[in-house]
Amino acid sequence: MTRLPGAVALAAPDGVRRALVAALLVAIAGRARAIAPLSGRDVTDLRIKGLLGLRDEHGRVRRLAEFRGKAILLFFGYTGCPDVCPTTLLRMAEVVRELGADAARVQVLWITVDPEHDTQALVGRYVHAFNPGFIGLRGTPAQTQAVAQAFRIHYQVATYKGEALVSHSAFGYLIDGRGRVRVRVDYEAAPDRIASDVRAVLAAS
Amino acid sequence: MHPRLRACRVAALFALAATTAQAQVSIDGPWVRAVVPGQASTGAFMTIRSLKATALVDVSSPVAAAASIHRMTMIDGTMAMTPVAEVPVPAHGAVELKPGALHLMLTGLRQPLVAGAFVPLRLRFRDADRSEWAVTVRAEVRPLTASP
Repeated sequence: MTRLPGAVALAAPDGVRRALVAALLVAIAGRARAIAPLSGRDVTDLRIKGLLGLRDEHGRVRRLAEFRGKAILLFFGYTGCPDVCPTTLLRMAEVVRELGADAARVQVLWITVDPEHDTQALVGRYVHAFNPGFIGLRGTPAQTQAVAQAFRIHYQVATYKGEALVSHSAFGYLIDGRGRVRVRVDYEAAPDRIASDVRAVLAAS
Repeated sequence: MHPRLRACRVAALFALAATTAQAQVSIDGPWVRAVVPGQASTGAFMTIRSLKATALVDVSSPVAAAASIHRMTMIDGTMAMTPVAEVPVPAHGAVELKPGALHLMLTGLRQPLVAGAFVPLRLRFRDADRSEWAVTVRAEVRPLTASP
């Protein structure tokens, strides 16, 4: 004799029934998530309230709101960075290439954590070496601190024997077209995965 | 003996004396990352192989006001730079100085480093018997966008 699983659930004691319902809900939630799978860490629930108000290489103050409708890939770094920063910007250039026609809907922003050494002009030249469409941003040390804090980014500039020793969060963020910080983009993330996340958040926002 | 021939032999002897310490070490694929105008520092990378145990203890270059040995570490998504006093190279071993790990930093650059150019790097080593010697290598400047 065979019985339908549903019939088992109906006949089962309360505890078992609750467990089955919970399993069903998890399955439904899993399906919902599968519609727009993100490869990076989804940080939407952290409700990170980012802010900019930093200057580009033309001295213009740039704000998050002006990029509405576009996805933003945002990173922090410094031009004296020997590996993490060039590698990150190189990967972002690959993401943009990967996006093809969708590239017009993404903006890469790069913020210096070392404004005492990185001038506005230098930050611009540096990011443009990777892609002329990238925007390099610089603030005063106080502004930089405030922006990093808003984005929950850590950095430190120490001086040792006259040279600057910088540490900073190597991850960045993918922000959707409505200004919501959606994905933490880890340093190790592959460009094609990042590109697919960009498409996913653009489709959803 | 012909004077010119004698001069050659003397030069050869000097060359031999200079290379006995260095012969134990080979520096493979030294390169420096190019910079954009105004950029004050950059990284230098290479593989050091040695027959005898030695240690890289200092680095300098005429293109930079200062040079140092750094180690990059990544802890919980945060990248940090730590100065390193020396890089031991084991006998018959190799140490890779590469992006994302141990590397050399050239700071206070005196001139723009353009891809395709070559930069002299003077590397000072200290052997197990405390004797010190140096070797100068020509590091190729690779594009800023060069991947590791």
